[in-house]
Amino acid sequence: MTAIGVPEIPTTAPAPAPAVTEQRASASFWHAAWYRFRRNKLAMVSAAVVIIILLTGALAPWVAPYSETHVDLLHTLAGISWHHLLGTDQLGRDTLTRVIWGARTSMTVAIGATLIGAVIGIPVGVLAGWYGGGFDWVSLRLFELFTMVPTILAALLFVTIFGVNIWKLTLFIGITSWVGFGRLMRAQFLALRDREFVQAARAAGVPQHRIVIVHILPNAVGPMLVFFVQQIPSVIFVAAGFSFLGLGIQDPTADWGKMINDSVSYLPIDPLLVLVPILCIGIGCLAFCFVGDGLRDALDPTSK
Amino acid sequence: MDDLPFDSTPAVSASDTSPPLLEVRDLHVSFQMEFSTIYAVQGLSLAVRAGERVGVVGESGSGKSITALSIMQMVPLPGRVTGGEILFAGQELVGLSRKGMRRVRGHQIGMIPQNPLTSLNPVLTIEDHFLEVLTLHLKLNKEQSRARTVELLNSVGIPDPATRMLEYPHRLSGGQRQRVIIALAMACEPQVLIADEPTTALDVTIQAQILELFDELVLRSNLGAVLITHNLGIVAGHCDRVVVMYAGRVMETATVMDLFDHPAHPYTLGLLRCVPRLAATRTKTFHSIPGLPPRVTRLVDGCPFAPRCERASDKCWVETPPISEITPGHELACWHPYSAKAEVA
Repeated sequence: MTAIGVPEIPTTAPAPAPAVTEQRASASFWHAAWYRFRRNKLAMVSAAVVIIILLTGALAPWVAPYSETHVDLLHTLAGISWHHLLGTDQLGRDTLTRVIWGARTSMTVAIGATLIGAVIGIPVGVLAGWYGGGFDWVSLRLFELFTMVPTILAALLFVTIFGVNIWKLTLFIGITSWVGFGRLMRAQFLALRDREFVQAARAAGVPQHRIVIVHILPNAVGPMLVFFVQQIPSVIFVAAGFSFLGLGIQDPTADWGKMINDSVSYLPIDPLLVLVPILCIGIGCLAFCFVGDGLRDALDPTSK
Repeated sequence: MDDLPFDSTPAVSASDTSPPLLEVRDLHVSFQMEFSTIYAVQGLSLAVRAGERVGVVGESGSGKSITALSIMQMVPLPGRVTGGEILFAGQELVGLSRKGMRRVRGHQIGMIPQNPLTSLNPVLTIEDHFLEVLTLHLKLNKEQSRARTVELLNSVGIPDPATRMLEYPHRLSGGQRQRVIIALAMACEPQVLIADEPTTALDVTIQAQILELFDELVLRSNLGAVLITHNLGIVAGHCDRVVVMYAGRVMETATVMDLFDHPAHPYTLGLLRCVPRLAATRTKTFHSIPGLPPRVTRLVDGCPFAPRCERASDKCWVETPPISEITPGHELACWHPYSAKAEVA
């Protein structure tokens, strides 16, 4: 490997074996991205936090010290002890257990809703950006319609009509949050559609579907992935907000937002009850944000 | 014309009468905007024979690039080819189906885009670019494509192609990227190569190398080439015939020799005078054609160059001069051409 711009100088060193170079280059894009991500300490720590949250959530039935619905009326509002590492709430439920099960709920809602948003938003954005014209006009009006309706009002209406559980909440947040994905993909496709390498591909006779899939989408994967990861904290916030208002998760399911709602009246007696779920929401959201930032930097193929 | 700063040596004589590979007849392209129409190309004709390099020169906005895009049937909306024919090896390209056109693009007509820095997809390796066109048009498999890629990169002077082709475009220099793009355009052995200002983004020494490569490829593969440029020096050194465009129309068509020795159109002469020369430093100023190119938003009778022309008469303002042959291979659209050997300086 010689540096760019330096003329090839015959060296005595043998040429690298083809198999080795091939492996390096074929995996190079994601390898290089991983290399750049790894050097970002904040992103790595955040990624660890995200993984811990996801794992505890996924393994909640096995890691939680008590059952999610275990009520111990003899030990209500108990402080920190060896039996209850983070104390208990007004019904004697173990806070640590609730927080772990809450992670499961919050992550399910956050990832599920973001996925639903992506599944609806990405195709709409791609079609709007690539075809433009009438399709673009309709998509823009849809974006406006969904942005215009206040989410809380729509949520009230939705809950009144359909009731609420974790899946309905996920679906509802997903449906209201697809606009971001749509706008992002539309902007990406509008910008990439007129890039010269796309023109060059057309001039080389590459069919349209291949241009979209091979030439444009991979260039949009970075921003899309970043948006996906950064969308998760805002969904966590929205879900927590709904639960806090009583429009979201209902008893007996544990949820961070709901824990705040349940315990807020006991704030003067036992501030830990509110503090723990708030910290969970805060740390979780920040971790996702930092991972998103790290991804954005890592996925830019031209950054060093 | 010994005092011109470049060397004009056409490789093919004008008397070549083989049927043209690519022929554009009376091409009209217009852009239908919301409140106006821009007539970008009005009645352009040109013919390219095998082994011939045809230069298209003109100022920005004279319709050169739109002509190239029309040949590829890639005029961006709201532009449309509104008239004329584009014949490639006897096949009409105007109105050809999307599928039919895809078989022509990249396979039979190769195009070298303007900017080498942005014409390669940043997330694909060099090899991926070749693999795409080679599997698409020549139905090669991965091994065959790899071998062919090495061969192609070798032919455009990329050192150590087997390793280089595994790189991403941003690791190559501008000149190398342009070489890759040329190799890519040549990958499926097209019969016609269209180069839209292939060296504008490169510095002068690299320009010379790239144009040499271009000449070599045309000669070796007996290509018909269209070279779009605004640089008369490039035309003189690397073209056999020249089409001078102004405001979407052809002003003059001639062999390079003829054009530089006997420019007949006042616009051509004006362009030649604008070429800065070391010998002309005594005048201390650069020559320029007064005025600006017109905005072609209306179809008007009369010569489009009349407002800027020193020889314009009343007739020029009301009657469009037709294209006519003044000497064999030398066509002209002007009421008052310079007849004899005109004085350029």
